Amino acid sequence: MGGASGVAIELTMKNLVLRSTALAVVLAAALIAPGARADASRITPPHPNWTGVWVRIGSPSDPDVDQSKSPDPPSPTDESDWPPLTPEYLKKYRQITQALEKGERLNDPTSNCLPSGFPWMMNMPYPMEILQTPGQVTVIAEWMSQVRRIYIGAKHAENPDPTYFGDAVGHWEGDVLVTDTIGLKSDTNLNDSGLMHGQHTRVVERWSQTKSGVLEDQLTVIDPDMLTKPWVRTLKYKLEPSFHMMEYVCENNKDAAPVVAHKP
Amino acid sequence: MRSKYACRILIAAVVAVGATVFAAAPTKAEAWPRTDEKLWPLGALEKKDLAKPRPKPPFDLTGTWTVRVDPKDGGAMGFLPLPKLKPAAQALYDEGLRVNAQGKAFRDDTGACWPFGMPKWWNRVWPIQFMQYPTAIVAIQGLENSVRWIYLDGRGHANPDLIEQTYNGDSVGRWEGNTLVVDTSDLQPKRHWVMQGIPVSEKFHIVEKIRMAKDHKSFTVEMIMTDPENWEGEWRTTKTMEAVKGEDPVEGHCLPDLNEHILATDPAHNER
Repeated sequence: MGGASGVAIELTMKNLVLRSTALAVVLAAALIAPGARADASRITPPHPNWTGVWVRIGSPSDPDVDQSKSPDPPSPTDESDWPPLTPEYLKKYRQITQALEKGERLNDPTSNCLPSGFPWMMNMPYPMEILQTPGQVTVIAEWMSQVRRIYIGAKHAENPDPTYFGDAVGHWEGDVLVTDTIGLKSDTNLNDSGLMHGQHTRVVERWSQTKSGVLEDQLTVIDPDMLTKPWVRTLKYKLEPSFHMMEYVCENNKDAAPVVAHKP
Repeated sequence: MRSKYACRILIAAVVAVGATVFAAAPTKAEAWPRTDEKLWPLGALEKKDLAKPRPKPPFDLTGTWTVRVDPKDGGAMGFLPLPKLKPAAQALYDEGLRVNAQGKAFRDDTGACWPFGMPKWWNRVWPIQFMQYPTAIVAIQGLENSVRWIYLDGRGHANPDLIEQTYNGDSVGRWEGNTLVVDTSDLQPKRHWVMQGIPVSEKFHIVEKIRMAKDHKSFTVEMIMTDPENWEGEWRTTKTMEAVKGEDPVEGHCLPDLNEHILATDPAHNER
């Protein structure tokens, strides 16, 4: 029984591998460069260790916030807090936000269970886990099980294929972790109101911890297609040692017809 | 005289230490208890939990590993040898082979981007990056960034009234000599398959025994899977993981909108 089944499986599996059940992968499987960039021999001098589970302050997961008393979010058409958009992107974003205010939903790939990607993932509603190992900082966002890796002391890959989480390298400036991310897919949004970005987006972060223990991520978005000047935002997190990271699976929409994520 | 007493003292000390060591190590895989959430307030990466003194583990999985694709153990598509399937499961499995022979996929939820879960988590062809701490192992499968947390800080399984069923399950582990024994329960049965045609039920349970090779260039994962609704007894299979050097993990996502011409995402060719 086991032997015959094994042969049948092997033959059948070959057909399946050749014909059918391969998954569509965003990237080519080519190696990035000889030598893994997360080189354990690059053990840097003592720096802050932020390994642990963190929650964005004010997010739905913040246990110190009574969500029932949270103020309503600003209207999506309130331009007072908008980034400095170029005329082209300003026109597009106005169209999107006006549609949102009417109750329409445009340009949200996450509705189809696609990753939000970086940097939107850092504005996370659920906890994140930071894992610091020699040569690498790994950030796991519980929201849609998103992972980004920051290679410490490394250089960018040459012409990286665009990915949801980009090609991220970092270095320490004292107790500040400075990261630089390029190679981001252009069909992701920067926030939950459909803010699009261009093909040459670059994000520089400065991570630091205040005396009160709050972890701050100052993100500077640089995008010559989208922005007239760099756009700076700061997100804040607090350590929640008792939180357990949970598996997150986006499944509810998988059997639904795709949400039309057309671009205006 | 002095040397004879010193020798006896030394022997007694060695015996005392040995008794302590062997008493601490479980000699068999006992059933894992449940942990009341209130008794376990610390997260595994909390500094106080990490700082507790613990014996040095026999090996460190930190690094990137990829499955050795060997048709003898089912390769990237299966887990061999098969157990004796219960009649309903056997019928479903046979139906899958019949459908495959017609050139179609059979209830291929993995191909349609549903989570592959355990144990398929081991034999996707994307590398897995492990980060081992004294209190937990965090392992990220390159495909879909599927994360497993294996808790090593002595906790039992989570309170079933509080825990959600998940595709990768609730995993706790401990060292037994040179073997890492991991117990995984509370697995989500919805659209969850061990391999084509063999589903899992709510009673699905996995014990993994991980053993590192002497040269630390590979390790084996012996899986002991039970599911009394779908097969009889234990389903034992072993996969080998090989160290990956000189590569960084790459993103791998299942994107349905790019899956044109792939049978699993075409309703006409993914028979239900």
